[in-house]
Amino acid sequence: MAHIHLPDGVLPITWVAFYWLISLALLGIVAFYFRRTGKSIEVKTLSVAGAATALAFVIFQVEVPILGGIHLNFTPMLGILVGPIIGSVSAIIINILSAAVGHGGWGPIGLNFLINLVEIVFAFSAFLFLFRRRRVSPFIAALVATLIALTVSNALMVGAITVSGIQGVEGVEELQNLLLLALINEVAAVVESIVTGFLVAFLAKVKPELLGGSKIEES
Amino acid sequence: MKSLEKGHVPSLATILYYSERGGPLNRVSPWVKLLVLFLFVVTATIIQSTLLLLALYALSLLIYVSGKFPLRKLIGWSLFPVLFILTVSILFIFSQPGRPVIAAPGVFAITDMGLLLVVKLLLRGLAVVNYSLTFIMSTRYSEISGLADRIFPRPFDVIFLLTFRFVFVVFEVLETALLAAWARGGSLRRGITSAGSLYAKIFAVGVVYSFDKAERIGKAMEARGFSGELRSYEKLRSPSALGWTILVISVLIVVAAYMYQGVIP
Amino acid sequence: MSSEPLLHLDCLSHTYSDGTVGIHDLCFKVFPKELVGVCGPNGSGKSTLLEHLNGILIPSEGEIMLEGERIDKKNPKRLRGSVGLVFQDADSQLFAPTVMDDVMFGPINTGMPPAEAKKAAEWALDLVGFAEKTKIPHYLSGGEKRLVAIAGVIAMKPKIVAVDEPTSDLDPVNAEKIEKLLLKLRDELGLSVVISTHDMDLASRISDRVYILKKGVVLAEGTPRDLFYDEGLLQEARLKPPEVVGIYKTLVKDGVLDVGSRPIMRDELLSLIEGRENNKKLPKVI
Repeated sequence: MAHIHLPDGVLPITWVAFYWLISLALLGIVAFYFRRTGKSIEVKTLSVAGAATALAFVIFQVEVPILGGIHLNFTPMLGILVGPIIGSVSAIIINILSAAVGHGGWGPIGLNFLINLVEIVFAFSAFLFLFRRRRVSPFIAALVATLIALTVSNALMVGAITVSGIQGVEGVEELQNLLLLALINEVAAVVESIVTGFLVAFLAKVKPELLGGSKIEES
Repeated sequence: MKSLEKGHVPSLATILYYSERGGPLNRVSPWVKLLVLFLFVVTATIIQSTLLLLALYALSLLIYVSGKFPLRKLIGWSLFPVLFILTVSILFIFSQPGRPVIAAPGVFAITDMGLLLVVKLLLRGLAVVNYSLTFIMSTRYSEISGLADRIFPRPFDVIFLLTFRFVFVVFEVLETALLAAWARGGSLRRGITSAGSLYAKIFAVGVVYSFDKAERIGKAMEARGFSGELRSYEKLRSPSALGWTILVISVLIVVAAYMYQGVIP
Repeated sequence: MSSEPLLHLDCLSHTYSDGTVGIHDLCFKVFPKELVGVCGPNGSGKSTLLEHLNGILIPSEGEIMLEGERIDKKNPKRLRGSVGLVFQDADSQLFAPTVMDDVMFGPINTGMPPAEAKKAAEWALDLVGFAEKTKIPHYLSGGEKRLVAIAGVIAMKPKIVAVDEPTSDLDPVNAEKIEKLLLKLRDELGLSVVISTHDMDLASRISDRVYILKKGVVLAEGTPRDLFYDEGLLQEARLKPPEVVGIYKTLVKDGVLDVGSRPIMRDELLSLIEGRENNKKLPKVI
């Protein structure tokens, strides 16, 4: 799983609260952005956000039969499709729904959300740069963007857990012990990058107008 | 949704079946259940005593069973959380200071504190997972919508309600696409690129469908004069006297447990 | 019929952003208490026309007059309260958590207080004959979704209800339910109804007037009786005549019936067959 789905109790309460506070602050900015825009944009934005979130949540539930079975993150793809603003709303809702069905805890939602946001922003930016500016093929652009996003988030996740600490762990070996998690995540990240590449390549042929996460952001 | 349903992933259809069926826990106010969820999360996070965590886990199981929910399914659904916890913590069983329990001298040593760490993390995580599933399976769809409507600020409430409404439809679309692929030998594909490209196309069907749907939903909302609000008018049952009593007692127990956990192993 | 139209679309044109012409120089009127059919093949502009009736689409050229008042970019929402639009894909219309929430959505947006909106929603659901108000929209059948979608619009108390392909994807029983409901809206509630359809049998049975569209242009306008016997017109519009018309023409050709009357409905044809003087034996199945 190229994603953080820490259950409750792993992170200390102070860090849980800290990550939640940062997340709520960022979401407050997003809410402010939405209220600032006009209604005609709002309807379209809302319906796209709802549909994209539903899609992302469902895709996360689907087991892809590769390497014994993996579940895609889809957050980089969300970034490519809808951009950071809608992507951030999708991310928090997906985290809430995931926690409700036992995929990840409620406390770590704060940290999960921040990691997701990094994935979305990096994937969105890298894809735009490669696909629009550099005219790289959609497959390569999406693959590289996803891999960058998930690798950065993987490193951030390891760093965040190392800084926060794991409850009950004594000693300073957290970093090297988390490398197992990082390794598994990175392998899953490679798989997800390839699948995302295929997905975007397919969309580029059949519905290229969907690959404009920036369209809604720019309007 | 049978073809996408896997034993370790809670099926939306199954969850919805139980939540609409009307079991004993459905009669409890959703606010009480939500506040108890919060208490479970806090307790699982702040309590350090192994015995108390075991009690919390046992309580979560008891509540789950009292709702007449299937225990066998819960075991399957616990696989994911167990995997997450083990992925994060498994190496610590070798590195935590303590008495060696299983050791190959000079090679590795699994310590008692290392094992205890993993056990405690499992108890914490699974207690909340059990109760989360209990919560969502004992709260009607319209009540979940009602809670979201009252708790989330705009526009998160609208987006949540739209997501919740259409997640089932999207699931069916993906499942149909998958079945169509399998019917033509798609399940025989192996390997990252072969299986990966197949699933990419299936997900692409989902993407195209979802965005088409979004456009139609947007138009339909506009056609009925959408003014920024999409509400749930479901009346949510307020906590009864018993509900309030349960909540107050629960808070007191959590506080007491936190304060006196030092004397409990 | 009143001489003043409730809604008048005057020389409307609409071009989509990709350059496709949706409708061109189209004139369309809806009078009080009438049922207007808009017929045409796929891509003829039916849906584009209907979306103009409700203000979802703003014309590139032309005027929309609602009860004598001009509607333009500044006040398209005036149409929303007066013209209800039911889309072909009913599932996309039911986006609220429950049936009741969804039907209340429109009245709330028109400014009704929640208590009043609830009463309006209950009235609308009773009218369409749907009782399960707390049901989750996802679990409704196709016919039920269509009924609830219509209820969601009539709860807003519009003067005109426009329904895009009202009976498409429905089984015969549900299709008949919808058909009866549309007639009820006109006859009992006194609303005007506009339906877009390529089902010529439906249009012939229930429409007072019909517009035939092709490639965004009105080919003809008139009563079903006038238009559906015009073979050339229907061929040009790529439409098949209603079944009754086809049977009547065959019977005339075979000398069973005389040319003259133009039955547009099954009952009319049956009366002709039963009432003619030289009554040859015909199978009862007709």
